Amino acid sequence: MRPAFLLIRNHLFGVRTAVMNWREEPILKLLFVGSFSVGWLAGLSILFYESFEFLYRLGGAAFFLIPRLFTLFFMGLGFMLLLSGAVTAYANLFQTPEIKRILTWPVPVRDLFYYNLVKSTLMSSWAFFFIIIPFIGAYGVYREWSLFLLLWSALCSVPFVMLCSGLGMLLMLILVRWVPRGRTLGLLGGLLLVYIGYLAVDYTRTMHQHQTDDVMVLVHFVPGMQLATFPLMPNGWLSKAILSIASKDWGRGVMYFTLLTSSVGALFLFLARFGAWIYPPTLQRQLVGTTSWSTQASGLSRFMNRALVGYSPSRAYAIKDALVFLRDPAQWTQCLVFFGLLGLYFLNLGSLGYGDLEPIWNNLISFLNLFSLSAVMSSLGARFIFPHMSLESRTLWMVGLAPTSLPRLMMIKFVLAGLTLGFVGILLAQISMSMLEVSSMGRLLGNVLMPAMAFALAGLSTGLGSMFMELGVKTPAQILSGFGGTLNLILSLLTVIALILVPGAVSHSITMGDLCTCPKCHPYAIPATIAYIIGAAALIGGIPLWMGARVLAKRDY
Amino acid sequence: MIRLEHLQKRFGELEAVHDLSLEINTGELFCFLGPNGAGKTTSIKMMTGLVKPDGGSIELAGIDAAKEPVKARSQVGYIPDMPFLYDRLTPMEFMRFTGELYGMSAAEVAVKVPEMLETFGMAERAHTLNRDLSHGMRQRVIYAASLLQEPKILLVDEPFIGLDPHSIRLIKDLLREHTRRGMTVLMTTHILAIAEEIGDRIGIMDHGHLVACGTLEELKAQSPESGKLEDLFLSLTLK
Repeated sequence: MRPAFLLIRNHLFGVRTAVMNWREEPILKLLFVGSFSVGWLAGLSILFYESFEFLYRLGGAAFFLIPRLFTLFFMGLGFMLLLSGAVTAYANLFQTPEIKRILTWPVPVRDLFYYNLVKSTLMSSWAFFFIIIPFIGAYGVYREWSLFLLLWSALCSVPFVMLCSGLGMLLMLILVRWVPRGRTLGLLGGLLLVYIGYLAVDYTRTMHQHQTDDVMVLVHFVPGMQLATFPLMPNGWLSKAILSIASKDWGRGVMYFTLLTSSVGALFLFLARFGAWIYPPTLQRQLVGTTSWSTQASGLSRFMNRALVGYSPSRAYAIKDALVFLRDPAQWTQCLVFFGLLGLYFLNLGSLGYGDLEPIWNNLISFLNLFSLSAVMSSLGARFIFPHMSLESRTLWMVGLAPTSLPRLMMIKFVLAGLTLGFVGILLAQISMSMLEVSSMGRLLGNVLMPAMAFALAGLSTGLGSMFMELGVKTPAQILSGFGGTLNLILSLLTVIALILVPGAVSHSITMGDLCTCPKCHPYAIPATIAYIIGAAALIGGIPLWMGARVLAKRDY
Repeated sequence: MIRLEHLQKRFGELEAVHDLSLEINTGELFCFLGPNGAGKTTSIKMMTGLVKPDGGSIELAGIDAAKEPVKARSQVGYIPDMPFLYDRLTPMEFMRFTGELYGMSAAEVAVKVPEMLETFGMAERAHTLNRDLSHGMRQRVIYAASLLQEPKILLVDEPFIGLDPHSIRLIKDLLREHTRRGMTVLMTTHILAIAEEIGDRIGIMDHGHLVACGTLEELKAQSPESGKLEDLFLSLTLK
């Protein structure tokens, strides 16, 4: 048997063992993951179903809109898959300790590449079926499709997912192999950012110019439609394959399906040849190419040292954390995914037509917007802040002996996390509230809510991270999958709900006229709501910090 | 100076350290020997404050570690057997971080960090990421960082694992040099020859008990048949 097959089989055995050992996982984690998965699938299916129902209520427009929305939906997924494929493939091909171990075995590098091609495709794409299945399922159920049609649609999406993931891998290989490093990379990155900025400005300008035909009307409302309907985009092939079969146009449907599968075949054949050819020198470049990295490292360090004033342990941690984060592609690419999704969110926010809606919807949307931003903050807290104390435990030989006590170290981490989270949250809130032209009351509550949310989430994640500190763990994933990580995720989501629900309800009552804030009725309604936000955030963030400090001071290391 | 009196530590049913009393003088290099699980690392960790003792007292450079833990810790440098270095920092950045964390002034850091890197032969690699350094070079960075704030006491756990002869020689010379200048060094090792070569006194631990302690000659005298430290070590710990 070829070494590549042996490696794949071994990996699948590992996956099977992990799945079979589910009983060893904490009950809380199983309950959370199970209920989240079911809730996610059910919620998303209902949402898509309601949307299709709404569109078909529009009459003939639905037949024009739905195929385009299918292409747009798959284009969005395709871009996320592309990014996911690139990041996963980079981590698998160049970053995992497994690579260095396998290189010492009698396995040809070509086989190592084939193994990682399969592994990366599987790893980067499986989760996307949690979005594709509810979408196709909701449409199928609404249109009363047969089971065969539902299965056909699911089958069609497999080559599409593989195609996007494979393209991501190809793009990553080319970038890692040929893109120059050091200052040249910085220059190219800068030029790319300028170009993206130009495209964004150009896009906003042209969006308001052309409104002649139907697609241009859609372009006005839905960003990205022009690109999504470009004939050579595979997202269009997939939507046509599904919708053609649904309308009994078998020949056209099978043709597009064949186009997808043959494209995947061609891409993977090309990847197998081309990738196996450039992978060995690229791997060598990654393993030994340190000089330019070091030059860059030194420049970044100088910049950080000059940018941050006030010589203290807090500054030392701020510089250290920033350098470690910026030099770890696995960390910042995940952040990029977060902010990429937020970018899409903001693009859509601009075309919502918020000002034309009734006040009740305005109020609801403004708080849903704050909820979305808070959910992003809670994800950032759970992913990046919670594991920090556990990761820091590896340096206790030096940090543990410093005059800075561990509870103080925890407070430094909390302040840095709170400031970062607060900066992100407040900035995003300001942009989105301006785009939505939120009322002055909504702005006031939003401006109080976001810093309070940052405080609460940073305190919760840092405090729980200290209470459930895991010694000797090397990767954030190991820390996040434990009991403490799951608890933190649940409590963070509950925090978001608890902090937003009350001001949202008060604002709704005021908007509906049920609650009057005039001096004769309830003049303290708004101040009381603000006091609630500040008090609740102080408790939610403060209690875990206090408990975390006690645990840190008492425990052995 | 290190003074331990009736030090005790239990982990559940396991008695890791039993009634350990020991005094190590200023400028002395004391070697702790013992099989795996004898309690050497736990004893060292209690001295650093990373593990809390169940009983007994620890005095470091004349400071009671229970009453003034921060002041006591500031006298100590600790190097564990498998120390972690931030892979994505350079030796220069790591040293600066250490200095700032230990409360050194910017001027002190600016002078001392390059000096220490020079002393440990790391000046040329000062701007290379730690992940690209060899094991020996990483150890040098760790020693440089630990000695940056000039501790009065150095606790070293298994310092010679995986090092080449040059690095071993460098560290041996360094420990000798620092003890000559008045630093107290407590070192654990499995390599008996090194303990014989550089230790002023040697202590043998087994199952949490200090079963033998003295100069090399005193210990050899306890094994009159062969006069070898190895035989004494095996006879005391092979039970």
